[in-house]
Amino acid sequence: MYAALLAENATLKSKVAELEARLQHLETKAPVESYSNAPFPDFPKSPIAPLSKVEVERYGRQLIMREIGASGTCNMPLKVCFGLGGFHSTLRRDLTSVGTLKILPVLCCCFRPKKVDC
Amino acid sequence: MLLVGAGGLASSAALYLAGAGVGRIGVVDFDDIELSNLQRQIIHLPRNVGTSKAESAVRAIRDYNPEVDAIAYKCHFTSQNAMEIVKPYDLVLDCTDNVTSRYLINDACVLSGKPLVSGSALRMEGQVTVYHLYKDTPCYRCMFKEPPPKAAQGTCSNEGVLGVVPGIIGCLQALESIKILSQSGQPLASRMILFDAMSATFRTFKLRSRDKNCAICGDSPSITALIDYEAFCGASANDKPTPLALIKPAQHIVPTDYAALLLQHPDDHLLLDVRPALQFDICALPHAVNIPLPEIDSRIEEIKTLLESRTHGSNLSPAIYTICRRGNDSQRALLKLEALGFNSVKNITGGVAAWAQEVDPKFPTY
Repeated sequence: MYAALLAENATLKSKVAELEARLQHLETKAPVESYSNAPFPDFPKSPIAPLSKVEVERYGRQLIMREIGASGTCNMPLKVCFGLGGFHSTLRRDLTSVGTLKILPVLCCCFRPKKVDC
Repeated sequence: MLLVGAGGLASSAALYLAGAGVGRIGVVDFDDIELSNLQRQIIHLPRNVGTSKAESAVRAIRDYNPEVDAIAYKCHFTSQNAMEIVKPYDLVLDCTDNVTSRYLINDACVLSGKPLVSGSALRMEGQVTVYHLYKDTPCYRCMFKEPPPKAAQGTCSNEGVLGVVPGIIGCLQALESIKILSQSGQPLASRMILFDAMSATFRTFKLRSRDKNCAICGDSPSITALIDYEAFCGASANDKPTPLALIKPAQHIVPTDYAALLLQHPDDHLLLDVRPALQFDICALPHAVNIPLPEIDSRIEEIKTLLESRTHGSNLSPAIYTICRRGNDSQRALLKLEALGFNSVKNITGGVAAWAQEVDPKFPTY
């Protein structure tokens, strides 16, 4: 009984030491190093992805929607023209954030009521 | 005004509140900015990825209007600190993304007597209403006595959202907040606006009046102090799904082990990607076959044919490896395949997200 407990105690102690070492390793490891330390730093089989890694991460929330998806997002970088001013600055921000990358600010007066400075 | 959450809803709300010259704006958020946030959280800038959301929001508010007393709370909004945080504000805006936080914010507002301007956005829809404003205005609990089962709690990280939608809802939240504080117009109390972006329609619904038997704002409330909301809702107060353990440890294979196997024996097994086709189109392993989880039953013959093509005439039965986005659906797929008679199935732990992290840093994550 005593010997069994001693043995179990020793096993648990070594397990704790191992887990602590792993924890310390995780805490001190910088994310960049983890790539170079990974067993497959340069995995030979490239993923199939129509968009780059950064694009997928940035536009992920709309890529997973059936209404927009990858095809809708890929179609978005078209030329869009908007006027300058308050109303348009909101639009410009929103459109830039959905991936409409080429935005040409031009003056457009057609929708603007004369006395409102927008 | 206090904004709980510094995400998509808060982005537009905070700037318009700052623009209107609101005296004090507090922003509570524990998280750091991620690149995947920027698609809708337009208050944060790419150069600040990795820094505190609350502090970034407060910086944007101060930049926009230095007159505003803007305060960042870089902490979780919890039952322990909620009452203290809410105290110096006249009104609270719920700009969070999960049911657990909604109950907590609601109860904190009722217990401290503050109106709550609540907004939410998912996919192409959004809704906004004002809770607990007048004597007969319902609170969130009057509307939803019990939290929905966890599986029914949709989150943006699972279902997606178009950035403009929370932007629009956040604008409406700012508008209602300004109306309430300036005591102008008819606030959106006992009414709810539903915005459908696909059909470009706003519809206003009348809500019930306050429930006299409500557990928190009723005539004889049973809740008189904040409770444990994660236990009450059975879900943690964020929009990240929790990893499940549906299968035995021996049925798991970690991505690095699968990668080693793949390099040695690239074509003696079937890699079944069970994500929806839309997600498979975003990025996939080159040799994976996409059969979404709900289609497994109806495409069983296809799976058998694919497996036969990988035996190469030998008698050995090839294995199936299941993979999904984060490793939960692929476990469900494994159980389904086993029930259908496939006996050599393994699940790639953590899905393509873990694959990107542990094996192939070039693999996109979303």
